[in-house]
Amino acid sequence: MNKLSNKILDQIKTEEIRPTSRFIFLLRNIGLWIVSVLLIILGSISISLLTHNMANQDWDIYRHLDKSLLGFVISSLPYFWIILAIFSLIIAVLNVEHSRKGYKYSPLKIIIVSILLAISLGFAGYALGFGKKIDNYIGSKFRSYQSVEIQKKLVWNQPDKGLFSGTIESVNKENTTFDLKDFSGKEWQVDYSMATLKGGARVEENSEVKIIGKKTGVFNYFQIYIFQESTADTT
Amino acid sequence: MDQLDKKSDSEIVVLCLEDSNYFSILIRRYEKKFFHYISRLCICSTEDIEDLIQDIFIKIYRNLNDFDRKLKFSSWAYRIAHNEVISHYRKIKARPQSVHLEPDLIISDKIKDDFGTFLDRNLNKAKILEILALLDLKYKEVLILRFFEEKSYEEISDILRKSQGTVATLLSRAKKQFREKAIKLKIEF
Repeated sequence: MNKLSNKILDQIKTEEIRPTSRFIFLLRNIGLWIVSVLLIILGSISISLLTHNMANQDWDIYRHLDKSLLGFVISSLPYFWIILAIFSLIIAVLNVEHSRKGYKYSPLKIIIVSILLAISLGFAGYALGFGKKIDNYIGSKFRSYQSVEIQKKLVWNQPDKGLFSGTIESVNKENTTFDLKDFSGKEWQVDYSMATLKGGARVEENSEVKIIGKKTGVFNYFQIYIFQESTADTT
Repeated sequence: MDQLDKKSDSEIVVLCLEDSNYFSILIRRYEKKFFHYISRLCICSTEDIEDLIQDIFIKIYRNLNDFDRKLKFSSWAYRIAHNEVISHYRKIKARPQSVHLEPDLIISDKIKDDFGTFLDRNLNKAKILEILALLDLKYKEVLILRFFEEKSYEEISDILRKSQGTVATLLSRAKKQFREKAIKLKIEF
């Protein structure tokens, strides 16, 4: 045995150095993979919510909000979910790269596979309605979180800008008017004689509708779109 | 002892986990290799290299249970050596030392491509060292592993924990930088 061997073996014995348990290494590696999978799932959930958010925007109302299409898109983007999706995917990719065999794959391949996986799962989650369910659930649990439903209520609760929504309480076909109770409980009379009904909207009792029109303050009529999209005159 | 010498590194690892005395076999097998590898990679005194080697072996011993038997033991051990050298290299870069060893620079026939053959035929040891010292660390280490440690692309990939594609790219850039430095030093290439 040479000098260095002796020195090293002495150090091992005097300091009572032991090989770290196999279990610790196994746990670390499994932990890395579990965290990566969870992060990809989190990324997918974010993509589901993002898709749900974008798919449920009323893209043609921007004209009534004095905004350009670009301005409307920028103000409508769900930044929280976009940032969360990007962040979780970056961490997932780094985790995979640091796993036992991760270095064997090119970083670009890992990035592309992770993104495709998260997008596929995200779209599947949206198609199965998970995006909506999670959005509503978070909205009901956290006051500061604006779910798509809450956002919509806020957008469609601007009578001064001609945007409001609610439930039709009664219809007077002779006068072509109906009474509507909005989501804050306020009652409106809407003239729909010049209305264009969109998105399969029906003027009938208990129907929930969104309205683009003009608040006149008198029983005077204008254009309305009743939505599921239309224009009406309201008093 | 002869019987033990015939055993593979992986088999010795299994024995080491039962009795630390077997670790001396692995030390004997890799001590010189690490010495040459480290002296090629960084400018260190003999004492520093010996300390580094001791640290490397202790780390190898502590991590024996992390050794993946699907890998070559040498690749795994070189990976640990590489990591230790890099962290030492960062320290001495801030505190340069004047002691300089003249390591062996023999290019194996097995890996003599155009570049390796050229190195072997046209440049003397001092000039190669002079150019290597000027290279970025990432290029220097990949050239040393390929041309002086005789490692395959797969082994370099396992040592540096980079994909084989990345290793190929690094090698190609390393050769390019080596040529550029040689031209700057007015060494015909």
